[in-house]
Amino acid sequence: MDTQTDSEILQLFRDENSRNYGFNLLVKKYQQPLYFHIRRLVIDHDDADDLVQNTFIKIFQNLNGFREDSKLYTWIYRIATNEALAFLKSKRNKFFIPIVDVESKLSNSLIDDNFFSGDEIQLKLEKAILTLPEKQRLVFNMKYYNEMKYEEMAEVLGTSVGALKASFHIAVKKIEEIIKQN
Amino acid sequence: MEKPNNILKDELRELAPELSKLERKNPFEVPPDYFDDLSLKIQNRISYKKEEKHLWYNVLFNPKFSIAASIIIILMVSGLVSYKYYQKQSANTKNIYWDEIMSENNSINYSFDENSLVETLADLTPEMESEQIIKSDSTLKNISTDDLNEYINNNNNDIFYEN
Repeated sequence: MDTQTDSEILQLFRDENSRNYGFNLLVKKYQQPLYFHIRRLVIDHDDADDLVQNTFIKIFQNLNGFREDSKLYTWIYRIATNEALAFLKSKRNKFFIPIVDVESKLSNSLIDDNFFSGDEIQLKLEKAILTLPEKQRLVFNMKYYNEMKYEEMAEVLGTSVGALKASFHIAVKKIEEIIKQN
Repeated sequence: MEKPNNILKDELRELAPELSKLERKNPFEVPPDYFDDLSLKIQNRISYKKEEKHLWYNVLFNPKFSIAASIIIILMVSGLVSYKYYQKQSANTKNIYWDEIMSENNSINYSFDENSLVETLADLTPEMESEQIIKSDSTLKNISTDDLNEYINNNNNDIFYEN
């Protein structure tokens, strides 16, 4: 099913008769990468589940207006990223929690998470990633786990390639320091 | 989507040798069959949203609802207009200054004539009533009406205050 290209999926979606089929193909193609992209940011499975569903609903509602100025793949990632960041922001505002505390709460929840299967070293790495500022964490995850090109990341995050490279380098250095300490 | 490549590994080896030694694998898991059901869950939510939209459309464009809503809006607007009108009226009343009222009262005070007031009061007193009082009191029976009027004219101030 993954053999369908983005432009083929778009064509199917734009036809009223094959819209549902086209959208189903799109969900099947992107559900896993989008889910894990969101999950790495919000950590909790239930939150990630809600957010990935909201993301696909927004995609369904706005796909007809997609003008193909950018790649469908980066457009979808932008929606997912915005959903996750908005969720973290609302969580902070709702409970009046400072930024650092949200990340430390997420870090603690990793230990009790039934759907976290990593070993001790991976837990250490995830905790180290959670010490990073939000933007650096986002850039690190997209590069380290998704192996996204800087140009594509720039389209998703609306930042320059230079700034993204600098963010990634700083993030990597910080994580290296934490791993060395342990 | 970009396929895994060795560029990142080389980059990491230079920047962070310890990090580059770690195995890169996804430590997060999902409940069983989660991705098999996700597509269906999303489709259900989309159709529910569509139904919800239709429901609102039906309610908003229902003739009964439109009439009721129009009446409420008309009542609210007329209420608001009359409230504003009365507010304006009371504001105009407040504009009459206390000094003006006092100056009007002063002019009344200056033109006040005590004698005319006594005459007016005397005219207002019913004659029948005074005659009945005279008849009922035996000591007053011998006093004529002329004597009584003369007495009143001479002592009008005291009688006025006693009454």
